[in-house]
Amino acid sequence: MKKQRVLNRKTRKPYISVTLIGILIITGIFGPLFSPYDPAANSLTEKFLPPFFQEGGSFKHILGTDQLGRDILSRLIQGSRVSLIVAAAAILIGCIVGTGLGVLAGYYGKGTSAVIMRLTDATLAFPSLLLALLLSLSIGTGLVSAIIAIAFGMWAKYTRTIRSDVTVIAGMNYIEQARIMGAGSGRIIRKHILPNIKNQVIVMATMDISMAIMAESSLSFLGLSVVPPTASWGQMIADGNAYFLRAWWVSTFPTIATVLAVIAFRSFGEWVKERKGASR
Amino acid sequence: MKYIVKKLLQAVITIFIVSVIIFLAVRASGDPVNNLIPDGATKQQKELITEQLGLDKPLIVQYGIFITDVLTGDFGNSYTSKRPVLEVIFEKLPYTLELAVVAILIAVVLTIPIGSLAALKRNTWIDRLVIGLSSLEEAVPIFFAGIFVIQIFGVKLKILPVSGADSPLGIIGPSVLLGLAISGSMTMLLRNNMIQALESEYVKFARLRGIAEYKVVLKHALRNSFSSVLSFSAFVFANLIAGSVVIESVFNWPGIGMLSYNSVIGRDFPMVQAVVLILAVFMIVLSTVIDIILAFLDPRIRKAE
Amino acid sequence: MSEKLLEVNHYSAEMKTDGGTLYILQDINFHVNRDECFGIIGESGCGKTMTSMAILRYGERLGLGSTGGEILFEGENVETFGRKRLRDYNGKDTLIILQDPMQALDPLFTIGKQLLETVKARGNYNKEAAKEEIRVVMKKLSISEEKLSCYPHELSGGMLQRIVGAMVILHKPKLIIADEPTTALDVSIQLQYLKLLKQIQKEYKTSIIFISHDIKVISMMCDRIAVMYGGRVVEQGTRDQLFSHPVHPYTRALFKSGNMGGIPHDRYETIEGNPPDLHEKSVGCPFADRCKHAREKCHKALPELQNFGDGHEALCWRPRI
Repeated sequence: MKKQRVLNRKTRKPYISVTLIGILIITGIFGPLFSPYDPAANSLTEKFLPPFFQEGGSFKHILGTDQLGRDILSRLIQGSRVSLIVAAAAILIGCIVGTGLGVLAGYYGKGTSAVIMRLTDATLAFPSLLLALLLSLSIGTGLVSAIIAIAFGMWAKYTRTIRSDVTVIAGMNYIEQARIMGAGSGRIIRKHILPNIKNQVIVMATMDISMAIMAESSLSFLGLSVVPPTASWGQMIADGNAYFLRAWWVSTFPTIATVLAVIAFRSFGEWVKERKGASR
Repeated sequence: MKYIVKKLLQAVITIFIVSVIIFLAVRASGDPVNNLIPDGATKQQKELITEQLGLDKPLIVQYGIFITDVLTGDFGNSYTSKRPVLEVIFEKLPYTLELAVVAILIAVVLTIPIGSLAALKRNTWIDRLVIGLSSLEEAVPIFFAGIFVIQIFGVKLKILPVSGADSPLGIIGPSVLLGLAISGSMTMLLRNNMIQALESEYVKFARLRGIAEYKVVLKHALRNSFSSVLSFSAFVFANLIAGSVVIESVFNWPGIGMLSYNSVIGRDFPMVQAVVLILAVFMIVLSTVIDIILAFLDPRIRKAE
Repeated sequence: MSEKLLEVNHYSAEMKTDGGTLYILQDINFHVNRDECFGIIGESGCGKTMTSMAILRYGERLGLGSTGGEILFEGENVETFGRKRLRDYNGKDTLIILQDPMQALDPLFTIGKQLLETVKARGNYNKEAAKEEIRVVMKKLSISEEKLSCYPHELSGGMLQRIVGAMVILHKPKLIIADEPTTALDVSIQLQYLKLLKQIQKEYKTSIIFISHDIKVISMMCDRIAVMYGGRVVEQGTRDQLFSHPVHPYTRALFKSGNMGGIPHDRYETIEGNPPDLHEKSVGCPFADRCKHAREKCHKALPELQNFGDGHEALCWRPRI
């Protein structure tokens, strides 16, 4: 009766994505060790040097230099660190806060849930970048405010999903059983609820990495993330803006870096999602 | 009926929370008086302005004043242009609306044939190409694409205006880019839903009743997968109205996005406050209305509630 | 009236999946006469549904590829049908009744629209005439006309299956394939629906292939019966032949588990073990692993088809006679 189907081929292991992610993490952590130049060192005699493969370029500056003569490769490496720090920190905060509130709302229901859900509704009503703009106004610009802004735009999604998951789990027989056996709420949440939502949270968090990198890039493009001279990809793209026709490489290389990072993390996320088999 | 009342009540509470968040965020941003007074003003002058603005009162009283003003439609004047905030917002809104509508139309027009084709040709090179392009559309930062378009088509080839909304052609750049960015996820959504629909029993039964394939695809498969695209568009539309800060600032498009960016940079508090509040309220109202409409349209949802 | 409408001659088909090739149908051999109800019975995954999909040429859409044999409809090989002929074949000659009517009808269109669409698919469409025809059929099945403006989710499963019945009458197909048509219905209306099918068959002289795992239903409906196991037809014959002298151990076990065929109630039993893995072509008898009477030979070689006269045949080395 049940038809055996030839469904989607299983996604192949994302070797390319994992390699890219690996490179990104290595440059993010150990970047300063092999960065060819100080990313902030400018040299006006060497400005707008093209990458090595173009006429006038050399292996001295493999990817060329920008309008202040800074080495693009070194700046890309520094930017990868910024992207990773912001993404990791924002997801960590958003995920912990969001999941925590989701568990509370789902477990206690009623009033607790109502209060928390209105809070999430209110947060979700802010278009994401607008929220970041508003926060930059109150806490200033910089790495920390970028992290907070992205995390703030993220937590509510976790709360919604986790709450509905926990509501289902909390209604199950074995939870009732545990309660009758005298287990306290803390123990039930730790032993029975958290293990059950673990996969969902992991999947959501991995899927969010690419989003966070993109968000950081947008924020730094608008000048709302790290403060110069620290380099970040979005800010490098903004720098290259005016000189695109004269020196295409200044904004194109950070764009390529962003695109690769976003696609790599996204396909990695898809793969995790398939393996962990979560619903969203 | 009970459902509607409940939804409306929830919306009111949410709006209240939003207003508190905005109020606090703006107050937390330091003393606005410093931005208002001329350099070298005396302490007395400063105190006078603080008193005029009501900033010496306790926070809760300040909030009370803020909310009564808002409810009576008084959002104050912009610090920079000295004009009533609402007036400025309503002046910018049409630009953003125009951009959003055109962008969504472009996205939908692209999505329907491409998404359906990918679903019909599942697991072929066409499908893979569509998937690849869609993820690229989502991964390329729109501000780079914007620069690219401006520099190539505007500065070099001189086909499109470099920026702004003065020329009727000015909308092409931002709207096409926004449309492309939206169509990436929209195409994937349609494709996946369509694959599901094509595998459904009703499509199988329709085919086995001898109904022509093109009718099966257009009537049964597409219509069933299209509703999700529609609700996605509504969601995207709401977000676009709220202003695509990035695209508007890249193309110097004089809409809400530009306005909010400029007022943040210029620390124009009444303006920021009003823009964010109005947009957030707009989002809440819109999503409440969509929820209610959906419940009316689809009796299945009504039942589930 | 025993002219063959449909012949399935030594038909085999397989499906390629990630986990390797699945040998779904192997050497399927049966025919359906005009104006008879032919039953196919077997457990889940034995290939019943896939057989019907192959007959309707829907197998290829599910990834089922034929590897041998042929399926003839009125002497014509269905695999040679072009697009136009196939549409007529699906739209006029045959009609399937699926298991779950709730899912078989499109949720976004009213019943009336979907009935009209069915008439349209037949060709020579005239809207007024079609509406009139639908009205007549509805009356005949005593379905009130208001149901035409209902959406599928507003009606019960039994009502929807009756509407599918109306589609059958509108189609006047030569062959109806009923794939577990009552499984999704309430027990109380199952019998009523089976009677309706029988009535349609008698009145329009159609043939029915009736697929089910329920022996009671099969025995009630069918003139001749094929028992499928592991992608093969292991025994077939008339109802009387099978119910009075089942020879294949699987058939016997099936009847026992369903408490049929005059076996006393206290010997009601279940069949131990699991259906065979379709990933490999079995060397011996597919049922050998679960068969109480299996000997070495049964595991080593595929049984030859044994004939017991008057079309009663079984695929077994050690038939119980």
